[in-house]
Parts: sequence; C-alpha cells; structure tokens
Amino acid sequence: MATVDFGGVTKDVCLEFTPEVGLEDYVIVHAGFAISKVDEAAALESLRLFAAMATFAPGPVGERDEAEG
Amino acid sequence: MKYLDEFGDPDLARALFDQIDAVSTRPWAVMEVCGGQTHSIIRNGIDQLLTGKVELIHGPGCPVCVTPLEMIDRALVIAAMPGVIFCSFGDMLRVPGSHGDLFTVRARGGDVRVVYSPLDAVTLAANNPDREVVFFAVGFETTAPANAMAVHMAHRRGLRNFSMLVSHVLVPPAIDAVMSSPNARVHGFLAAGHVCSVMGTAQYRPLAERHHVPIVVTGFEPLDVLDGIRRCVLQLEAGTAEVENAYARAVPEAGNRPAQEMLLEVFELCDRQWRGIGMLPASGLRLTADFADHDAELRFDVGEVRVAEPTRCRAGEVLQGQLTPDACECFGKDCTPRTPMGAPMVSSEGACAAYFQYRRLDPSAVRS
Repeated sequence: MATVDFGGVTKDVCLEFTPEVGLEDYVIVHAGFAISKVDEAAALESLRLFAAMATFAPGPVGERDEAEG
Repeated sequence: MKYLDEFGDPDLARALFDQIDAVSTRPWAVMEVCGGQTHSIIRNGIDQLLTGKVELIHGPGCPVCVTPLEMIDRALVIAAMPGVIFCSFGDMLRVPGSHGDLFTVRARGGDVRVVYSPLDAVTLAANNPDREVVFFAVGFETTAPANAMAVHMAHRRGLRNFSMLVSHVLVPPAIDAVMSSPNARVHGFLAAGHVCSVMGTAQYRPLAERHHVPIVVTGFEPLDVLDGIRRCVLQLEAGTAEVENAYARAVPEAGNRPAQEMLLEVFELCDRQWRGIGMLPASGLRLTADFADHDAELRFDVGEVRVAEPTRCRAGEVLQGQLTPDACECFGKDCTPRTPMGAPMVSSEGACAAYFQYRRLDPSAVRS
C-alpha cells in the first residue's frame, strides 16, 4: 500500500499491479488500485505535439498570434 | 493537478479543433465507448463544438447502466437477507430494480454499505466474522483486476464469509455488437483509455480489421478527447482502419501484465446479458471453479427473480447510441438523478446523467 496525493486529498492505494512505482511518481488509480504509472515523457511529448500544431496550423487570422504571445 | 490541467488548455484545444475542421470533408460518426468520456464531452461542450463535422455517438461503456435488471434484483434479495453486509460502489445504490433500489433495502433495515475499494469489503469480512459480506462486482476491465485481487486475498486469508456477486463485462464484445448491428452507423471508435491501461491495445486489432473501423485509444481530458477524434478523422479521411494510441502517457501497448495475470487466475470468460443490448457471447467474466466458494450466486438462494422492466424508460436505445438522452420524453421531468427511471440517469458514467448535469439549462433547448 502507498499514500497517493490526489491534488490535496490523500488516500491509501494498493500498488500490487504497479510494483515499479516509486516516490513522487504519478499514477492512475481505479477502485483503490494503481493501474498505470503515468509516463511523464509521453505526456510531455503529447503536449509538445499539440503546441507545435497550435504554432503551425493555419487558423483564423489574428487569433493565432495572440495565442503564441 | 499535473498532467491533468495541461490537457485542458484552451489554445491547444483550438489547434486540435482547427485540424479536425481542416481535414474533414464530410460529417463522420464517432462513438466514444466509455461513459467517462461521454461526461467529458458533454461537460466541455466538445459535441457542440464539432456540430456538423463529427457526430459523437455515446457508447455502452457505463458498467452500472449495462448491468441487467435481473442481476440488480438478485442483489436486492441478497442485500435484504439477515446477517448480510452488502457492499457496493456508490453508483449502484440508486439504480432502480424491479421493486426499489439498494437504498430502499437500507431504509428497511438492510445493512448496505458503500465502499471505495473492494479491499474495504475484504476488511469488513475480516472484522465481522459472524456476518456474510457480499460485494457487488460490477465493471469493465478497469475494475476487474481490483475485484479479482479482493477475491484472491479473501481466499488466501481464509475469509469464508466473503463472497462476490459478479456481473463483469468486457469492452471488445460491445464494440463488436455495435458494429454487427444492422443499424450500425458508427465510422470510428474512441476506445476507453483506462480499460486499455489494463488490457493493452492488441485485442482491438482484429476488431478494426474485421469491421474496417479506426479505433483510437483515448484519454479523458478535453485535449485527450479532441486528439482521439482528430486521429480518428484523419484515418477516416485516409480510408485506414488502424488501432492507434492517443493516450500513451497512461496506456503501454502491452497493458498491465500483473493485473492481466490476476484476472486470468480468478476469472474466466462467460456469456453475459447486457441491459438494453441483450445476450452477448463471451462478453463477461465470472469466477473460476477454484473460487466458487466466494461466488454469491452459488452461496445464496435467491429463488426465482421476476424482472419487470420499466415501460417508459428508453435507456436501451440510449445505450445503443440510437437516442440522445434529451430526446426521451421522461428526461428531466419524471426522470432525474434524484428520481431515476433508468440506470443511465444514476451513474456518474451514464449519458442521461451527463445531459442532465450539463445540458438541461441549454437556452437553445428551451421552447416557449
């Protein structure tokens, strides 16, 4: 069992299915069990791709520049 | 919260929407399988944003909603038995059976308790050796490993007073049923992210091939949902039908091996009745013979259960994506979360509850 902080609320969560999880890791919890460790590199990669789309995709004139600034 | 808030960024959402807008040449129908995604879509107005471009059809991925009435009636009988502590996730308590719900049983003196985790029910069994503790095991592949672990632990600890009323269902047979229906009008699927966190993505490939539909594993935040739709539309425009993972931060391709092993040890495949859909072969899980001692269906004789489906509730059509909740004449009038006529109005994953919570004050819906 481990203590997981849900943005301020803490709960005891079973790590039986995610033995690789350590301190300070982010996990997906369902029914009291961690079912997945959040892959931080994958999360950042998704955000990087979305940001690239926001920069380069054609959009309504004016709005895009504002979003970039 | 980190890795949640960032995935709701409005500027990035705009970029994803612009791309969907730019590539789509015709209106596509995409089904989000999971009720959690339905809630995210309605809450964030994603369906309204995509009006005319992508129609989002709400799928049957609400475990409480698809639990057959007969099983709920069985739960009501067991919960009312003297000496029983009946445990369930909170959603289930207000789901109407043929005669009342679990709250009704509790009001009449039954010991019905809400638990957060099935392990809490195991603890109750250990602390109350003179009582029968029954856990109502409902859910998809996301919940099944937790419930399997609870049975496994109870078995190992020799807690003979712990049993489970199992009504587990699986996502792939539901997708297969949706696509095999003669009324099928779904072009692509958003697969449920957390189900795939457990099961991985491989089992969706045969479905994508057989029905020639793109299936995109999708998360729950606004950017996750939009990216899932974007990838689905890109595939539809290109005429491909691949399984894609748009939720890589939570879904490894192979899923969660320890959880899968626990499932295999405790459960086996079985045919299951789905409320609103019917009998689907090999669409559910039941306890294996090794754990028969913990099977509430074998332990308690509930006699013959006579099921009375409510006549005016159209949950079956909602669950099959044939009717939007607000098109039902009972919606928001006779049927509300406080006085639900059907399970989709109760559950935090039910489509009717999503529309009631976020859509009932929509000014465009007001007719004067």
